[in-house]
Amino acid sequence: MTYLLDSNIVSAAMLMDRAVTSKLAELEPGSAAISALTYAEIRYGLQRMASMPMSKSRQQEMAKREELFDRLMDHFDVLAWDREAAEAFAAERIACAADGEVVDVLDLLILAHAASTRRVLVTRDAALQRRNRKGPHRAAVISW
Amino acid sequence: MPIPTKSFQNGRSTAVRIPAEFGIKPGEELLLSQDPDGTVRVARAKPFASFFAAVERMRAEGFDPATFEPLQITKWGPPREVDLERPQPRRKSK
Repeated sequence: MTYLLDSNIVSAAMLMDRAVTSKLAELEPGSAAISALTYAEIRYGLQRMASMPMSKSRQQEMAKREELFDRLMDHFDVLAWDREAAEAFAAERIACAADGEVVDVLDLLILAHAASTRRVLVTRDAALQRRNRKGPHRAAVISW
Repeated sequence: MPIPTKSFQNGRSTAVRIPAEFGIKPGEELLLSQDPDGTVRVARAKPFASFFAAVERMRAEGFDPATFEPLQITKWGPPREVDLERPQPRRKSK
């Protein structure tokens, strides 16, 4: 089984959330990836934090946080969002509208990425979890 | 990109040098496998070893990632609607 990890799971891993780190420790090498969109979201979050005025100890903490993300990325493929994902996005968005579900645009782009790459989406987002096995791709959505 | 290397004799075994840029530490447990076409693969036996090692080192330095402030992940809102049948208003150029 292969997984696509959502931004909130990557963020939880960086905080050493036990539920996430215990899953990571059991993963087969190469079985988990993140979307380039998730990479962008985490990088933005880190840079936004780093751009704020802070004490020296906080600057050191920021450097450690950046390093932690880099070490985590040693183990994940970062998947490009491509034409197949775009096709899946259109179909999944139509299905969401038909089901009366409003899903955040970035979450929907990531759901489409999981659907197009046939990976299980791992997320803690409640709106995405409600899309488990729904939509034309029947994409699996789970939480850790 | 594949990096060329040569095997060499080490006692009764055949060994291969792995460049330092791969980040494999001496004594690190690895898994060897061979594909049907003969390709030999080397994988780390302990997933996320460098990540967990970095966490341990940070803790030893007095930084516990579990106490870091969570990243703010902002929602973008619902997708915008685009009506392909109506021309979109043109922006005035300055």
